[in-house]
Amino acid sequence: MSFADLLNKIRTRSISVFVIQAGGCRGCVDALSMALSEQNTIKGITLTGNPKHADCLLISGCINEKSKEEIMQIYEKIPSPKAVVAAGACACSGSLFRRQGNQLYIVEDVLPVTSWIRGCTPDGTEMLETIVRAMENVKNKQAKGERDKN
Amino acid sequence: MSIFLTEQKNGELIGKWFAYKHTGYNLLLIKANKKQGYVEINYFFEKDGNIDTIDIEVPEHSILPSITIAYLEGAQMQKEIADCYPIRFDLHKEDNVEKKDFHAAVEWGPFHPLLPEPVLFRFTISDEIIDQINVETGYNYRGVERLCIGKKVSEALEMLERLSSVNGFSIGLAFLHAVEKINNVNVPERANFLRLIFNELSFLKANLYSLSHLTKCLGLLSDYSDLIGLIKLYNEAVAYATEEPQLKDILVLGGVKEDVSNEAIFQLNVIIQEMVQGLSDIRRTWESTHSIVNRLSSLGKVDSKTARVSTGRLARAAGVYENIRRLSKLPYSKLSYEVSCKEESNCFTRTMLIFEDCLLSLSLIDQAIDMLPHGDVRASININRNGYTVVREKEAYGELVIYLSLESGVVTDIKIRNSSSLKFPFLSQCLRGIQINDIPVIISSFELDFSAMEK
Repeated sequence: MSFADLLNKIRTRSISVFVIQAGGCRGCVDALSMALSEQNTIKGITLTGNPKHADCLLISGCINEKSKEEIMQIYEKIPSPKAVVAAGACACSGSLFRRQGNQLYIVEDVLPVTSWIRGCTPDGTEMLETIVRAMENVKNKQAKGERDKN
Repeated sequence: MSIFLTEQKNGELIGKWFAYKHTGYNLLLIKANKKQGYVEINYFFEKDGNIDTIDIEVPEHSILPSITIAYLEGAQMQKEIADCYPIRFDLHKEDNVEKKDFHAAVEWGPFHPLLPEPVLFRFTISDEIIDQINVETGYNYRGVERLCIGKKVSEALEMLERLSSVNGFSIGLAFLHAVEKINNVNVPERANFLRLIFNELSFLKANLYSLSHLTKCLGLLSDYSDLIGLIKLYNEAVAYATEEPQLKDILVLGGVKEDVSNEAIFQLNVIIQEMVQGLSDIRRTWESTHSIVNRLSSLGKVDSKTARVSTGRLARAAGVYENIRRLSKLPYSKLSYEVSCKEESNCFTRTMLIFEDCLLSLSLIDQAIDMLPHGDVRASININRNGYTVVREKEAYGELVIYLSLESGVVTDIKIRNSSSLKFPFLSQCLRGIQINDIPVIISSFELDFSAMEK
């Protein structure tokens, strides 16, 4: 087992999520924190305030010009392999607020998205499941890429 | 190119502001509109329910005197206008001056788990004590007010209900009250009572979230878990009346979308009243724990002068009596209740008021359910009148003001001022001179709803 494989195995034990609440009602983030605090079948997901400790970036809300730059900077600081999850209608499609030319972005416009959670407001448990699956996908992709290289 | 107003015009405007100030008027709202080469600014003042306005028209790129000379609470409303329209205010350059001085700044935000919403704080500190503060907002801006213009009432309502997860219902309700006032609509009594129950449920939820955030900032994880348990109880109870715990898509013009059976509403009440014990227990623990009392009492002190021009618990904790429910169109006058006040506004007194407000909401829900009349929940209406109005309603964290102008059922102008716009300008004052680790507690005790403030 290579050192990279070992590191990946260790990191699968728990997932640190950096949550970005862009312009929105914060309902998605509230639903996520409720799901994290409940007795849930999905365990081992923690929130972090430091992008360098994060495995996954979860973004909710509409992204405007100002938050776009900050989000891109945070994404750069997260070590690979990293997953990006767009949570809620605002992050996935702009919901009712996005119109042509009004300078609001969806997550897909700004970053490569691994998974989408649609709905206003999405279910908290669904969010946790999606985070786990997004991390699995990212790691599988990385492993496949390394195999192809070899 | 900037255009300065003549000294005479500046003097006249400032003179008018001070005349209102000295006669006891409060600043209610500032709104602006762009016209051909001009920007129209309307200042709304209020005293004992009377609303008076100052309307001015200035050329684009003008530099106006700042209303903060007379009304500091107008700073955020003025900043919003400066961000959206080609106009500047005299004192707004101070932001830039502060930024230049920030050589060794500590940045906090815009995204952090202990910040409920994005906002960037830049501090300079000496020995972990905060020296200077610059707060940068704008990360929430979606341009909702502009998006509402030209939209039908139902479309605008859909957007306004999604402005904030904690105060969305109150904003939607205040908007509908404005529409109904312009069109002289009489809402059926049962619908009014149901609206009141849902409104109080939304306050309850907002207050529970507020408390849970405060406990997280204090590091009281077992109390945090208890409060999450209460929020779960709330969700369980609300599920009897609606599928949506955020209470979206319940309101319609002239009433509520669907009737809720008496049986369901009684079930809701039974579950929700279980919270009384839980809330009282947590409050008792906090009141009898010296470390919590001492820490919270020493933080976030607001003087009575500031409190008088503020709103919500920031004002009430300093002994300023404020009962916004009496301004509402909802049948609060039929219920018996008393709004509590404290003597000194600090984090502890404000927190205790949150507990009392939760218990008050529970009592109002209980009384309203007992008095719930039978009958229709929707009036058949025709909205074709033109006009404008200003509506004042209660939201969970203070007073909400909506200016609305309608033409043939279409929104032609809208301006929303929530309680956070009044409270936000005083945050910097409160943070100066405190230790850096106390920042999250003070911010959460201010109960700012940035989503509805920046829109």
